[in-house]
Amino acid sequence: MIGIGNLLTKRTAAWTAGLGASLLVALGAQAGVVLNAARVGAVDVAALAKFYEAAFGLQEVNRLELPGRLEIMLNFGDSVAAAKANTAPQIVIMHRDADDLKDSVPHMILNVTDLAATSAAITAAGGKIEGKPIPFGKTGMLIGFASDPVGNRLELIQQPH
Amino acid sequence: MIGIRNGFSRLGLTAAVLMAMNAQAGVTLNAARVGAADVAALAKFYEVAFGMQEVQRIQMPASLEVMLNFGDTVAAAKANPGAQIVILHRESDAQQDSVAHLIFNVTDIQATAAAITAAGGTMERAPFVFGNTGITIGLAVDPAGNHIEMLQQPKH
Repeated sequence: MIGIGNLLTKRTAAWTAGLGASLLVALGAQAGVVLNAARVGAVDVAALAKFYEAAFGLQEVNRLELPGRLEIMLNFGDSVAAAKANTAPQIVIMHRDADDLKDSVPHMILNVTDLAATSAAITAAGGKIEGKPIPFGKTGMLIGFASDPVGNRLELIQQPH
Repeated sequence: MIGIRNGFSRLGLTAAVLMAMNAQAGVTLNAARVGAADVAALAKFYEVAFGMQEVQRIQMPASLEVMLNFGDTVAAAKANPGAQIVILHRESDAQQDSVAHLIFNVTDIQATAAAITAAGGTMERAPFVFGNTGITIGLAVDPAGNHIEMLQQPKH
């Protein structure tokens, strides 16, 4: 449920944006929304799924095979059963007709505990590391960037130890 | 494990990959990210359309990044350990990317569709039932042109 105070904040934001009463009514209905998955695309969905399995230890938890397209859902877990039972948002790979997009946005951000090991795994599985990890200000965080084998950009975040 | 090894063999992956894979127990999804030329405006869309809360923003000299999450209050959203949605500055919204990078679970897809439209998004396909699953899927585009997908599980 959205609290009254929060709703007032939302009202202010909505008015600031010049939005109407119908929107506020709709807003109140959005308590049941959560993130299901982050998705990237690939011409060869099965091959890219293998990359994510090898580089990050993800497990395939579902696949949809439709005429002309394949979609594979992955999640984290020590086994396929554990990954299927994992209620956290999935990573989904969906068919697209071309991989030559000029998209600079890293659509997926991963928490890692060992950035060097993850970087090595990405390279070994066929991805590319973009530059050296960057310390994020004085936070102690390290940030790395990579691309999967079909050009989807990824960001890696390692919290201070 | 044997099945996975066989899969690697078919792909010609090496022992180094298998060793590296074993080191990846510490990897989890932090966030899904989309881009926008006007980050603040798109953040407002996600707040209004989906009831998200801004939990952090990083203002760099030439770019803004806003992090959002779900919660009844900003404090609750900040305490939410679930994966965030992040909006990152990009130079142009004129892009040809048709992949829906964000997928949402929703409990009332008609209400969500109405909220998306009211907040300035576009429904590119009205909610439809996926085969015999009972799952209803909706496809939309946010005001910056990012494709998004909604899933509503069957109501029991």
